[in-house]
Amino acid sequence: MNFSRRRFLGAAGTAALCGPFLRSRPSKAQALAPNLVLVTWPDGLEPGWQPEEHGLGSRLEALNPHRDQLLVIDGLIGGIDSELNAHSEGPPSMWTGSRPAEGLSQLPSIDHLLAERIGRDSPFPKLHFGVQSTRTGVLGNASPRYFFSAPGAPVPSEDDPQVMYERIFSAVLSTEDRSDVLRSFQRRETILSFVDDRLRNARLRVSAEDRPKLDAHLASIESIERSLARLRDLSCDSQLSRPEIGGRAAVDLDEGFETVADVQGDLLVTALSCGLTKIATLQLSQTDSALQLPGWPAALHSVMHDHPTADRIEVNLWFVAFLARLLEKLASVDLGGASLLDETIVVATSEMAIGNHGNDPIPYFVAGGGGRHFRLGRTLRLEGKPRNTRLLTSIMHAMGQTDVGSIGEFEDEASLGALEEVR
Amino acid sequence: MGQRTWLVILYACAGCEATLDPGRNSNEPVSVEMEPEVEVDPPLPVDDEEMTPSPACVGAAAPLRRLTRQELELALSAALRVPVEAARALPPDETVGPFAANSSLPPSESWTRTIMELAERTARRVPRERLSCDQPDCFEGTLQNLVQPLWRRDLAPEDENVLRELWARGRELTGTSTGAWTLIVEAAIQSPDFLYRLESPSLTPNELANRLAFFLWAEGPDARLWAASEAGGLSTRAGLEEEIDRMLDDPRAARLSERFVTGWLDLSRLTEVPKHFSFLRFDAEARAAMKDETIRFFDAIARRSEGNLHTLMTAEWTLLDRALLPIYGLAVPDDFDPERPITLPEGQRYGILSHPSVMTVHSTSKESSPIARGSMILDNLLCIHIELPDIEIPELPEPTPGQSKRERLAAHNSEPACAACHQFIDPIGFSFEALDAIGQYQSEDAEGRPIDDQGALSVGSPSDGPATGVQALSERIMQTPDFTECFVRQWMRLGFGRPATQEDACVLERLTESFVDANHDMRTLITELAMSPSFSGLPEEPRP
Repeated sequence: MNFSRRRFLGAAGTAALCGPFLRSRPSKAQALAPNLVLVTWPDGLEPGWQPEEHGLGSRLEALNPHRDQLLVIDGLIGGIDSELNAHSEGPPSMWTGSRPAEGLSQLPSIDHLLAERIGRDSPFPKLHFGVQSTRTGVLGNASPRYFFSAPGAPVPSEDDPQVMYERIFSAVLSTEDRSDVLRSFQRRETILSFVDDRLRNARLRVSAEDRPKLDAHLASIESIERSLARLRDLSCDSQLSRPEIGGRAAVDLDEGFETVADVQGDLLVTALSCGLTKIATLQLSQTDSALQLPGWPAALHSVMHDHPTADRIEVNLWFVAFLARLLEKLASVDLGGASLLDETIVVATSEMAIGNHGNDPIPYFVAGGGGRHFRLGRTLRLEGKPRNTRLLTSIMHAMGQTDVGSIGEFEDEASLGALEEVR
Repeated sequence: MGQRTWLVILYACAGCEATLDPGRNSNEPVSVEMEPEVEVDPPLPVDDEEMTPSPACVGAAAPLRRLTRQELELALSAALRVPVEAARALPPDETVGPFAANSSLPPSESWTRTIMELAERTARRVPRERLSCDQPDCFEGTLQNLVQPLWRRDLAPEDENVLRELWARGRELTGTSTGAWTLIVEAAIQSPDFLYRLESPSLTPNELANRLAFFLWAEGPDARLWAASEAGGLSTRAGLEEEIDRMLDDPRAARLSERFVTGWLDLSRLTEVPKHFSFLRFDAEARAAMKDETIRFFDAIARRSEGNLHTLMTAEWTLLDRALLPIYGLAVPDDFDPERPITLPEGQRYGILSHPSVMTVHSTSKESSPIARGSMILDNLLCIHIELPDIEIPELPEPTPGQSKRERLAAHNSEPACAACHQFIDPIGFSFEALDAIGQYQSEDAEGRPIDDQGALSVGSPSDGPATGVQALSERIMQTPDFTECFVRQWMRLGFGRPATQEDACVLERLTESFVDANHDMRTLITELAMSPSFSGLPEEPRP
């Protein structure tokens, strides 16, 4: 559960949103860790996106309402060399600091590292939201992979908001009769306890060499049982209802993109606000994007590749506006004296600088006061081409994981250690 | 001293760390590490004495296997007769060699959670009329109907007792019989009885039926195989052979060809391997058609015996989908029939190695890669695994205008550290140079020069020698004694789902012998493997 909320439990207003009746209390370190939201959009931003001397400038205008909560970073380079094809190498390197092989990262991504370290006491150690993340791209390449749980093991994002809704909320939202909710927990508990018995029974029949496999399986069943026990007494009085849009075919249509993106954003914000997870990712489309929103002259990938500057800016504006809406949602959740955005770190970026596959500079937006780590309300212009792995290390530190020396496998000076300039 | 032993010395002297697959001489991979400057022959960790086959050739013990993504999806949908999409949601399988096996590592929590969600989704799809029983007299029948196919064994009285208790609890919780049965289905899917292939120390006929079905079909036994196992039909060599024959003729056995050839030639990467956007012909349809060609070609030879291992390597025909004709540079004939073999353009292609699927996977996103192709031949076809050296591999120099690929790779010859390994790898790869990054034939390179595909096989075998073009190379590979044995070794990995150990040396030897005796007929090899004592538990055929 989200125990950053613990601090606010005494404050009026919190209980109105979420009523977590906690069975077990987490450790203090976990309680204090903020939420983290990682957002990706494809094919970078047209050069000239950088804020002007005074104000954010026309290209980032939509973010103006949150400029005090925003750190714009200009000058970080991507983890990969620019001559490689950033469509296959960018996504698996951007959150891992890995030199990918065959489109797969050789390291887990930071969301996974954090889920392992601080996610274990949340009902969901982390959640991966997607918006057309698996829709076939214009090149027909398989969906690039952005998040990894182990070397070569990508974690897909879920594109269907109905599936996400059911996975996360069907059991906890008080839209259903509470007794039904309890029954659904009892069902799962009954089944898991049966499976537990079967595993113990099978364990006696296998060889000593094979026993550890079933022991590990038993351990994970018991871990799920504990997580359910924490979840069963949680209720979340949100206005959220089952999304109307869903189904594989529907969510891959151009027309559905904006709605699905906003619904996924709502689900993400509610999951954080109800303490169901601390770590969420939101992947908008993918690097080889076939998305063509109304008013766009061609599919996103083609526009960013070889359309005139004005077209590319048009495409960019959509993503900036989406990010602004997401920040607005986080800011509007009142935790009693602070907003959810105050307790969250949002990091938004792309797998390449612009559609020409370059990696210098990759645009980065950090928003929200979570962890009180980043000095906000400014643009940071970096010299000397530091690699984005240094920001990844800073994010680990901001999440309370200060024992992490460096993220990624690059060992040159520009890649090692945290990015102290952000503080 | 065996021929493979010489091979190790050869690589070691050159300063290249090559690993021969285990299974013949030792429990551990044979690994010889040498500094490039060392010139003397190293003492060998292999010993001819150990090569004497043990008297009873039963192979190593079979590990407990958890269903792979494919097996889980197929077994679940066959048992419940409902559609299941499992593969995408589950974490990747653990492999043995190039084949999914799930035979050594325990499952992760994320796998267990995904199975729980999958069980819930799948149970909801079972038609309600099959979950309607609320009388004692239909209880046992319904249980047989729902749980027995999932657990793939006869339900014991104690199984029925615990399931009866679970049903009662489900009835209480959900208030309906349908709810109780749905809960039973969910629980049965999440039980180890479904998720693992549990076997007793003395393999029972039902357990052998399971082994056969998962090996040949990647799913559980069908009614006929089950009946055969119940009637003792799998307990004699003749009965077993008859059943294997029947199963190989079944369309489900096409999955066996698919699994083997996909793993053997790394074709699973075909769906994701990135290509530069300038390859306009390389779209999703072409990817699918490439894979389809190789699988259908392999299946025709493996299961229908339309040729043998030689045919696989040297055929001048293939089976093509329409979508692949442009990549082959062929016009669509008026009477095009994808089921009819097409004769390959003369002098351009030869056998399975020249398939666009194979060439595409073993290339960079922009151009053919002699290094990737050479390594693949050594590793996958000859079972010679070259370890990456423990040093930082220097980058190749940037290409200069007008430079050919051979000139660019010349550093591999001039630098001793590179040459140590690349002298074996690159010459093999050069033989494929006429086939580009998506397997299109080209007679000129990007600079307009004639293609230079002079390569060579040099692995310390009697078949070593220059090989210009894919035909010459394929013939040399075919004549390499290691090739046949490596091919059998790969089949053993797929069939047994575990790495070979010293105890398997005799199994490998006998299977290779019978494969050669059967004129390299793959169907015979598959049958012999399934009938071997390590697989079937049946005693060996008396040997002459």
